Amino acid sequence: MHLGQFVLRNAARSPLRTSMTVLTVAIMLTAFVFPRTLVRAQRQQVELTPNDRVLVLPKRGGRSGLPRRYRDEVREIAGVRSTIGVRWAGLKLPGKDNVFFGSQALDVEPFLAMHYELVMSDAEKQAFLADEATIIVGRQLAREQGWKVGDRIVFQSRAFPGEWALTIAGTFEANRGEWAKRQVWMHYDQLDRAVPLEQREQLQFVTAQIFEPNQGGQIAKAIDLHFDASPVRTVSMEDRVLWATNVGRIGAVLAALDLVSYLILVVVLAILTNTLSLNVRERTHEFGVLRALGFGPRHLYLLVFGEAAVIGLAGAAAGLAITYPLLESLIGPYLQESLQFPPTDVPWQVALGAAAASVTLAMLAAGLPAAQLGRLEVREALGRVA
Amino acid sequence: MLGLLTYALRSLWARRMTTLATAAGIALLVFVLAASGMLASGMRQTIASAGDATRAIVMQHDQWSESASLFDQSVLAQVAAAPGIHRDDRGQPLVAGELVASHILGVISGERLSTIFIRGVSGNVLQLRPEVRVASGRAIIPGTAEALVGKSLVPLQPDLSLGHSFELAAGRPVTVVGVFEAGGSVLESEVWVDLDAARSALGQEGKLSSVTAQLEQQEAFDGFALPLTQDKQTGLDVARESAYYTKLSGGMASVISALGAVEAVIFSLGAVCATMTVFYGAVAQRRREVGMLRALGFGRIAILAAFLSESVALALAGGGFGVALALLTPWLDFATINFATGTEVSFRFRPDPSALLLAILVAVGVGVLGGALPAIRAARMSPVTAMRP
Repeated sequence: MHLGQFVLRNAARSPLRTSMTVLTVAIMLTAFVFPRTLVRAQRQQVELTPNDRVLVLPKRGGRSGLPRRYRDEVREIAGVRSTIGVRWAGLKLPGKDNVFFGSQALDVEPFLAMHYELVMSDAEKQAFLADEATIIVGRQLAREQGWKVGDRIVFQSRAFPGEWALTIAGTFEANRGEWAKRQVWMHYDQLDRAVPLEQREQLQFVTAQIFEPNQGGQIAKAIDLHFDASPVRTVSMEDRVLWATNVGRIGAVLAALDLVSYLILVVVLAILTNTLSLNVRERTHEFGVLRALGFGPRHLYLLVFGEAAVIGLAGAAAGLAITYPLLESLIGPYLQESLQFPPTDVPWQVALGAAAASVTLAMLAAGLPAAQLGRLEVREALGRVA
Repeated sequence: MLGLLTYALRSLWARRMTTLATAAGIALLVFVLAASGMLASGMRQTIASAGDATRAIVMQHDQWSESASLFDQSVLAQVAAAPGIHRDDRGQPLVAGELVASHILGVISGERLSTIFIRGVSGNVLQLRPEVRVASGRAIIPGTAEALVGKSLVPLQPDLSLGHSFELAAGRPVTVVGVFEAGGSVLESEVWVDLDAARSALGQEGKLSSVTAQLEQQEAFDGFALPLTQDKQTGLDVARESAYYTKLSGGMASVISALGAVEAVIFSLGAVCATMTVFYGAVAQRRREVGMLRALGFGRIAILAAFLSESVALALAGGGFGVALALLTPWLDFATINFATGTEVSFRFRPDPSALLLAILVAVGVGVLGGALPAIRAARMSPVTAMRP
């Protein structure tokens, strides 16, 4: 009999134990992948944020805003290439108060020029630029709501009175992780016209694109200095800092879960060791026979490690088969809906890492029984029954 | 029966490495459950304990937090005229109008935005909130640009320590003259400034965010709220202070509970399978022992009970260890950002009996579910085949 076949048959000898072990490994891998997926999604937000943008916020937080002229004043500051003014639109669908998505009104032309991470066709960009009564929508949101390019959608706002009937000029995807997957962007004036008179010409923040990415910190300081004597002062920072702050919100919780996910691997190691040791102990007699027939210790090692590899691989495969549907179709949507979390796509790196961990742990777990087997005398092995 | 229990416990000892590993897995599960429950409970406690059921808070209609609410000074007189407000020795109603705003201090070491909560307070603030105590320094003198800083902000914001000053607006430095304690509540993460100084620095002259009133007793609330909520023109919402803060605490705590719960649910399924694997192994290994016991006259139920009590004992030991670990967490400080207000708040794990109990129950559940099928298998073995070599 071929050695590989022997290994497979060995693994299938106690089908209950093997399948329970594989199932345990699979579920534990899911528990390992879940926090890592969240942590990675959050960190990615920071890493993927382009470093040539500076954000200008009002120093007085909360309800306050910036006068719209700040957009023009920031543009005049040395090192700034272009600026856009952004206002939170608070759009919602009439009668669907529980459907949340992001929405901003902004200066469309510099926005499209600056945000090179947006992937959408030129024709759709042109259509968005050409008509003030149009919007662009993140592809995930469009899929969720069943929207297509050309559809006319009626919106209301959570912040301002009025109703907007806007046509979808295009859908986009962004080369920036989870950013803006469920976002709507509209023309600034389209929103402003409906805003009560005394609240018009206001911005939530200004985004400035700068010429030299490494100058972000200094340009931010220059901007704040410029407005230092104005009644409305600013706090400027590299775009990345805001994302880092957001991550910091639940960073400590995620870090704790991350630590737990590593400890889970230790549990997996223990379970695998237990199963493999039992298997080897039960077959000691057989191994003695094999040795007596002339098989060397190396062959026995091959059998033990081979069986471990089979279990590890099966655990990895079953783990991924559970993880993807569970996280992406069940837990992900729950977190998005109830807690407004970013969408949870399991990154392939995390999945690959989990699969590799499974096989590696199985090999490590085989170490102990293999070592015991190596020390075993043939005579002793033959003498032992089960 | 007692003999079988000893047998179960001794069996655990006989295979101590496996026992230890399984128990450690269950301990980890219990720790995750208990710790996330304790953190969520600590958050609720920190935020909710700022509210008092005998105080009422009046805010602009339909605003979720004080920092989003804004109305004219005239509301103060309107509230003061409402029935059921506690009066001091001189017959003055105990009410105060306050201005609340979040304020970005700046970017800390180029990495992180730092936002604080500014509360413009009147001279009677310490009367209104008797749970607040000036821990060091002194109270602020009304009409001056002085600030009292909450205790938990001091380690987070070195610029706000006693004697330092910070700028609320250009050319308007505010000096920190005291640090206050508020029984560990979320108020300890606020900066208190004189009302008029806050209003002029923040450009909100003649405006208030909220009016807080001390009621004569809890039951006075309905009578107090009625005339205020009936005034549709001003558009006011009235809430018990305790209810308002409970609502504020919801968001962050539920995120933590939810993340902890999702992880714990997956993990407990894994733990059930792991326990089952280990015990199927144990049953297979001890086939002849079981056969011997049956031959000696022990019945199927006894065998079932022996294996089940073994797995439950194992789960309890793991659970106890996990709870013990979780009980060490209150020594950790946990600074995070409150979702509702966007400001930094410092939290602690709170030993919450219901969270701990739940964790232990889950451990027992894992022991029972994980041990049941293997125990049934052991009980169903026929003594004759079981004793065969």
